Amino acid sequence: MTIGTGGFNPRIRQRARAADATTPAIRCIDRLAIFGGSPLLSSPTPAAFLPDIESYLGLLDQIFEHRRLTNDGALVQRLEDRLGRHHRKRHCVALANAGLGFMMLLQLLAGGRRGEVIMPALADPGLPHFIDWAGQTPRFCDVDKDTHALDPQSVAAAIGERTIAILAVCGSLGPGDITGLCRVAAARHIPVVCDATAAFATTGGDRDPAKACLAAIFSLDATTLLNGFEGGYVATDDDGVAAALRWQRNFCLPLPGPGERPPPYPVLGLNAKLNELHAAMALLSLDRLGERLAAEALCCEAYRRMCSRLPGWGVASGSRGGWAPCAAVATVRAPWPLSRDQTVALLRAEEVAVSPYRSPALHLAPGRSGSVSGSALPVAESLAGDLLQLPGADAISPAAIATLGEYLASVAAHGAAIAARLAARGIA
Amino acid sequence: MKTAAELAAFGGAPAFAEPVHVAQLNLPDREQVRRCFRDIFQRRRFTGNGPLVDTLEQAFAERVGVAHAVCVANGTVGLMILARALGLDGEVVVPAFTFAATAQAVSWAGLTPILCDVAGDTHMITAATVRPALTQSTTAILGVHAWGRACEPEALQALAAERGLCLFYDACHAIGCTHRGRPIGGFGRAEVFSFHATKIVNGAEGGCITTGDADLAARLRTMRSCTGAAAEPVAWRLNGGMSEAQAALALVSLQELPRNIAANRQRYEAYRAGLGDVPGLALVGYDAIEANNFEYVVVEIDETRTGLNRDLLFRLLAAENVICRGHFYPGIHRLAPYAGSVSTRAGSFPQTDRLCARVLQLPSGQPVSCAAVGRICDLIRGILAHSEEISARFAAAERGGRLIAHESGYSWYDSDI
Repeated sequence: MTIGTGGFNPRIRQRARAADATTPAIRCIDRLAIFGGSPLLSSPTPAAFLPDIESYLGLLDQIFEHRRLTNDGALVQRLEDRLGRHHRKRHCVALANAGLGFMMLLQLLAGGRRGEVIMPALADPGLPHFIDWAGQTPRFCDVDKDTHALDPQSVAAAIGERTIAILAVCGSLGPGDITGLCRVAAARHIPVVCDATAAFATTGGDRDPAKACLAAIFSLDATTLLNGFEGGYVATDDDGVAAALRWQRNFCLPLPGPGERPPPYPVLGLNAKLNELHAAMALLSLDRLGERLAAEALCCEAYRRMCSRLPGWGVASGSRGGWAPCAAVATVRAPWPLSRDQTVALLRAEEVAVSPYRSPALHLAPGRSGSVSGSALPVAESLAGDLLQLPGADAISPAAIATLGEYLASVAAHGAAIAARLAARGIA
Repeated sequence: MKTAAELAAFGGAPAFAEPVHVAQLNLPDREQVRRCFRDIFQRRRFTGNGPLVDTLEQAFAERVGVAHAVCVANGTVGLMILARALGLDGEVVVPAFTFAATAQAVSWAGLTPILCDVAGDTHMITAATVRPALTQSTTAILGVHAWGRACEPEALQALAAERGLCLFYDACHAIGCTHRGRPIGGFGRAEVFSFHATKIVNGAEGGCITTGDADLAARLRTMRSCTGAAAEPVAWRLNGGMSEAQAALALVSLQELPRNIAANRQRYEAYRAGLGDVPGLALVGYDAIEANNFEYVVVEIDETRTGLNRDLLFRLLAAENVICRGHFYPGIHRLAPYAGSVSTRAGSFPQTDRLCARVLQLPSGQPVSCAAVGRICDLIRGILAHSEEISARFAAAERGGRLIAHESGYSWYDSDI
């Protein structure tokens, strides 16, 4: 299919593929990568924000010299100390990954009971699984349309006799009204824990928006702001919770010595120790966090400019209230001519690393069991069809985002034809 | 050989200036590891089942002689997801004489571990010890290859078949070991190995599930991650993948496995030469026709013949900076949440109790030279030669608060660092 006058601007691809001078001007949608053309972003992005390899190898040498690769090693202790100071929390308990942290914390809070954990239907797909492993059942609530976080009033209505905890989620727009949520929970003596794996608290102490939560769980996964290969940690001011988690992460061993008492929670042990190889990486990533956050802010501004020029696009992420999101997220709705999923297919073919964000809503996920608060969760269901995760500053530059914006403007101009052709391929 | 008065517990200088531990702590070739890390940084692929994990899985499957190897964050996570992936529901028979994680993994999987005593000679469950634990609710038997020796694969498989049960194994001790010439890793529905730093293949942390069942392997691969499409429909998933850092270390370590087994064997033989004829002290033996990794140097101490018990020997050695381990201590039936629960309905576990009071793991692994083994043997022989005097002296010193607390800071469990 040939695009008429004013078709795809050839400069877009030429800019994106500056190294490839032979790229012909794109005059028809056949030249879109999904229909057989060359991808828009074909050259790898420079390795930004990675710890310097020589610094990492220096720590590796230290690990070898101490012959201590795990079991609460020196680097894990140093990492816990630095994170505690950053968050201004009494304790940061480092773990093999955040998922095990959720499982441990919820098992600990259940105190041997089987009950429900209230959580938003718009959240990371792993969360209901972690609740399952903790022997509990998720109870899904709708979210606020502006903050995408739990609405305190809907949570108040969902709390029942079986509620053992509330799992607040700090998404790409921050934690929402978490103070109000904690107030509602406190009135019913229900603990609140915060999933902060998709964000990073840039402030701590009294300015920490989640300070009223019993604990917050952060990720050290390579895809987050703090790359520790794998890993996670629980930040808390509660001495008993911290002691229990430290004991639990090492198989509930060693047994308390004479005159010592076990932590005041009936916990089930497992292996959730962070190893030294991962702690080394996380420490070096922490050194570059300020630089990374500044770059993410620049990308966010670039996305804001891009979205403002695209019909139906809006930015759904950004630093606010002391939280910086790990992911850049946009909403994609009518009058944008393509569905969110068509847009994902189109951009992935162009080698732009996008994905549906928090989709589907968790109560609608195939095979998922759990209860739903209310007859439907319309806000979560609607957002789950609209949200699109965009590349972060480690994978795209503000200049490339501008190029992407021009490309998408060209898509908009020929949207109906592209949408029809994608639909014909079964991409709805 | 030290006299009683020269022992560190009574004020003498410790035999070793620095602690000597039981753990393997085999450090792979540093230059190779450094090269692997340079490649990881170049690729910018740090986790999410990357190329090194893929290579490790292929290499380990080949080593074990199975079709599928699925790497995971650690052995406990491996047991947890395997128990779920097998579709079990109800009770799983587990030895009382094992590391806590064996039973804990079953509990995390929403199943009920039912503890079963072990045979006094092999330290493992047998078809005969398992049979009384079986009920209508039993769904599986989880065997443990203690010290790398096979846990009755044929007899347990026959029992499982007879009762329609699933059989799977905790093989965390058993990398490089065989049963009737077949590598451990291919018995039961699946087996779980550990790449913990204290094991013979060192991935810092890490584990691997081996199986010949392609469908099961596909479910395990889905379950170890919360992201990505499900190759097989599964209800429970978790963050259980192995990072490229772990895989890099484990891959280099796996290449060095034959060399490390040979070195372990030399240490084991040195222990056998040094302690083989000590009355009341029985070194756990390995079948000469089977391969073993000699990761564990384990002795049983018969107090009635040695004149002092295992706990006292542990404390005396710890004061000398020889940090042993009361492997496994206590039995699972004495640990929360299992003590007094349905898991201990058998009531008593006499062989487990006996072993928990008598077994001591002695230091081995890369940091321990054969000369050091000789010195440890001399220490033990000296202590046992004067056991009566030492016991009396120790009791008096303890009563008078005059013990030198060299061993403080070391417990039964953290001594393998």
